[in-house]
Amino acid sequence: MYLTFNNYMIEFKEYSNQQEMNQCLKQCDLGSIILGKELPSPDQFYVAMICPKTSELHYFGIGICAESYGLKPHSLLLPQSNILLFGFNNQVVGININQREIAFKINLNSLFYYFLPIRERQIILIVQELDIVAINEEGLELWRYGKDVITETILNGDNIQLNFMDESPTCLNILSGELVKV
Amino acid sequence: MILVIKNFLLTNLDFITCLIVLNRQNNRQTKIAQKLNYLFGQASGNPQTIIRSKEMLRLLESVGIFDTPENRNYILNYLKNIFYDQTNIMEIQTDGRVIKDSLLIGKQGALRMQTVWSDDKLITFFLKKGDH
Repeated sequence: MYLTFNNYMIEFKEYSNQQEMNQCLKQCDLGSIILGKELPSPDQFYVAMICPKTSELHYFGIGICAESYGLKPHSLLLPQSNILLFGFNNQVVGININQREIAFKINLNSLFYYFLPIRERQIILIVQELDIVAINEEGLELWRYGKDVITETILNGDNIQLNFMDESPTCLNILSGELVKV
Repeated sequence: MILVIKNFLLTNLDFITCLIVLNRQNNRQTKIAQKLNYLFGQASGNPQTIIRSKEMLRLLESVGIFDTPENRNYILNYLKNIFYDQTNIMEIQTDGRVIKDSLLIGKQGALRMQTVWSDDKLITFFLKKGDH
């Protein structure tokens, strides 16, 4: 199955080992990038095969090495900036599809969980196991906050409420990250 | 009256200090005990939290540590020892959280356990198979 992203088609594949992932990336005549290769013991391997909608078949590959912890990497498309975001383990990486290079990398203080895009504010919230980070579509970090395991996120207008496992809930303004009195 | 209180405090300083330490230890134990539900697959909330929790239980059971009162007590004492061990600090993050490294032995194998602490509060765990 393909995903359409601007002038590209993207196919996501999963592999059981790094050798198979590398074999797939070798087929990419437009080059490839491997994310997470610095991890000491990855046990999950993925490839995003990106194919420009041209008359011929060409591929650019993005490989991801990740450590499981039961979770899977996420991807978020940012059509306005031609950025493909990947979130996994303790990082979020933005790849510029047109330039075929890493546009930015955000280091996280805890395990990545999921993206929460706030389109009307052009803000992306990166929800993690213990923290939340707000970035704009250029990868600029706006604020970050965390204190315990996040069990629930509730959006309410320009505010986000965080429920924690062993701490009282916290409400933050999405734009500034400032605490809001509930 | 103030003098009486002051004298009482000075006379019983050791006892009062002991009470404070015991109280803090009890609070810490309670908070560690609360986090055990997370470790033993009983977390609730968003899907990722539940998945993480169930994965940790799966790994514990793979080395023979099932969710029983005895095993919870074993883990509780194990975590208390980790807290007091000053030689097992693997990393101090930029946000001040401390990551400690240890080996958790079960009846059928071992797991590498990394615990994340904020001051004296246990925040979360990472479990990996013994060969990682």
